[in-house]
Amino acid sequence: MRTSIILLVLAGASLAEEPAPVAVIATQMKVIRNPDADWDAKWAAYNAMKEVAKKDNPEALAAYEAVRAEVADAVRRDTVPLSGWIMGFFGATLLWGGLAFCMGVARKAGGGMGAEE
Amino acid sequence: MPEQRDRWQSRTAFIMAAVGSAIGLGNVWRFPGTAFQNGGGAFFIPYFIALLTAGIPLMIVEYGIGSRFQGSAAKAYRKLGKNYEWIGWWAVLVGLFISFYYCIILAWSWVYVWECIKAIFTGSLPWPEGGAGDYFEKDVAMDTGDGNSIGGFNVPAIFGLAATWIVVYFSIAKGVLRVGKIVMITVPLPLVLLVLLALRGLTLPGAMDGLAYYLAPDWSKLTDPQTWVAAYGQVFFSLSVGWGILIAYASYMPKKSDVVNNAYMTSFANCGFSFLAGFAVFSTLGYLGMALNQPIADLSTTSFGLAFTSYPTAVEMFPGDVWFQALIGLGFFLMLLTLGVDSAFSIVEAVATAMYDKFRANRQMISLLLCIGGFFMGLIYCTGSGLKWLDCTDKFLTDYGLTLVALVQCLLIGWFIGTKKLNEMRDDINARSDLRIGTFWEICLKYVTPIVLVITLFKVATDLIRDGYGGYGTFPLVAFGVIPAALVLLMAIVMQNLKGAGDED
Repeated sequence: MRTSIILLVLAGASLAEEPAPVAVIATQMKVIRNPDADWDAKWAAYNAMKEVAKKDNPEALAAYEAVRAEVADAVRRDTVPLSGWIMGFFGATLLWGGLAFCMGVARKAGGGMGAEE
Repeated sequence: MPEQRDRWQSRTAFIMAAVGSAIGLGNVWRFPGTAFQNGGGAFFIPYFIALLTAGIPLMIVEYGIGSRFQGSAAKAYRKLGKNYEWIGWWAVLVGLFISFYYCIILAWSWVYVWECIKAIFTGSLPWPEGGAGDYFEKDVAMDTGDGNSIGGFNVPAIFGLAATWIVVYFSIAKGVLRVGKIVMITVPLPLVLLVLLALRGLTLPGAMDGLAYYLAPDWSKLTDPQTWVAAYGQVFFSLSVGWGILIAYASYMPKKSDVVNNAYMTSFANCGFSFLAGFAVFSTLGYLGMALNQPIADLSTTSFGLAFTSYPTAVEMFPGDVWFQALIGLGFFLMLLTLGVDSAFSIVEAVATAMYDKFRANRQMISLLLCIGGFFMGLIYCTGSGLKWLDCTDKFLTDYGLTLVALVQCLLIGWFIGTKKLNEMRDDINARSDLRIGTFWEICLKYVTPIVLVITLFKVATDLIRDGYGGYGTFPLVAFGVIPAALVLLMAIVMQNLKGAGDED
C-alpha cells in the first residue's frame, strides 16, 4: 500500500515536472521573441520546439506550425560567420589541395601507371 | 595458357573509373545533410580523420591486392588463402543486390530528365506548385502499396530501369577499355553540372543562410560519439571500399602500378566533390527556406526527400521562366543520372570480373546475363510497394551486409592472413608507389577501422532491435531485408565450392 502511494506520488510528480508539448512551444517562443536573446539561444529554442512538435502529437505540431514563419525569421542568418568561412577554407584546402598535391606527385613520378613505366 | 588481361588505357582512365565508382548519389544527397546534422563545419574534422584512418588505408589494401593478384575480389582472396574466396564473392554479391534497387533510383532520374525536357518545350513543370513531394510519391515512385502486396506496376519506372540496364550493359560489355572511355564523360559532366548548380544556388537570395548552416561549426558535436560514427560511415560508404569494385578495377592495372598515390587521388577527388556538393545543396536550401518562410532544418536535407522533394520545389520557385526552371531541373537530374550510372556499372563490373575470373566464360555473355537478371530483379521495386521494399533492402544490405563484409575483410587482411603476408603486401605496395605506407597504415587497418566498424554495427543493430525500422511489418523486413542479406552470404559460399576453369590460375 505504502509502495503504491509512493509510486503514485512519484508518477504525479514526474507528470507535473514534464510540461505539456504545447506549453513547451509557448515557453520557447518567449526566447524566440526576446530581442536580447542571441542566435544560439534561439536555435536551442527552435530545437526544443521541434523535439515536441512531432507527427504523433498533432496538437503540438499545429501549435508549432502556427508560429513556424516567426521561428524561421528568428533562426535565419544572413551571413556565414567567420568560423564557417575558416572551416570552408580548411575543407577546400585539405581536399582539393590534397588532390592537387597528389596529382603533382604523380606527374613528378613521370605519369604512366606508376613505378613500372 | 595464361590469360591476356585487359588493361586501362592510362592511369587517368583508371583514376577516373575509380572516382566515377566512388562518386555517386550519396555525395550529393548524403554528405551535405550529414555534415549539417553533425556540427556543420566542425564535421569536416572527424570526416577528414575518418578519411585518413579508415577510407584511404582500406582503399590502399584493395588497390594493392587487386593489382598484385591480377584478379577480382574472389580470385584475390582465393590467392590469399584457399578458404577465403567466399569473402570476395560475398562483397561483390552484396553489391550486385544493391544494384538491383540502385538502378531504380536512376530509373526515377530518367523519368525526371524526360519530364524536364518536355517542360522546356511545353512551358509547364510536371509537378504542381508546392506538390513536388506528392508528385514523386504518386507519379514517379508510385508508392501506392502497403508493403505487403505488389500494388500494381510502375510503367514509366520500368522504361527507366530498362534504359539504365542497357547503359550498364554497353558500358561494361567490352571490358575496361570501354569503361575507360565512358568515364571520361560520366565523371567530368556531373562535376561541371554541379559547379553550374552551385553558381546558380549561390546567386540566389537566402543562399548565405543555407551556407551558414553548412559551414558554421558547432564544436559541441565533436564530443558526441554519433558525429564520429556518422563521419566514418560517410567516408566508408562513399569511397566504394568493401564492395570488391576497387579490387576488380585495380586488377586491370599492370602488376607494378602505383597504389598509394592512386588511393589518395581517388579519395580526395571523391571527398572534394562531396564538399563542393554541399555548396550547391545548401545554397539552394537557403533560398527554399526563405521562399517558403521555413527553417532550413524543417526541409528535407538528405536522401530522396532532398533530391525528389526539396530540390524540385526549389526549382519551381527559381526566378525566371518555366523553361529556365526546367533547364535547371534537367541539369540536376542529369547530374544524378551521370553520378549514379558509373557507380552502377562499376558494381556490375566487379561481379562480371569475378565470374569471368572463375569460369572463363564469354565476357559479353556474362555481362548480358547479369544485366538481364538485374533488370528482372529490379522489377520487384517497380511496384506499388517498391519504395517500401527498396527501403528495407537498403537498410539490411548497406547497414548490415556491407558493414559486416567490410569488417570481415579488414579482420582477414589485418589479422588472419598473418604478419608475414601482411608485411609482404606492405613491401610490395611500397616498392611500386610514389608515396609510402608504414606502421600508421597497419594500425589503421588492424585497429581503427575494425573498431569503428564494430561500433557502427552494434549501433545499427541496437537501433533496429529497440526501435524497429520505418514502422514496417514483419513481412517486408524479412522478405526484402533479412532474406536478401542472408541469401548473398549463402550464394557466396556456394560460389566458392563451385569448380571453375579459372580456379587454377
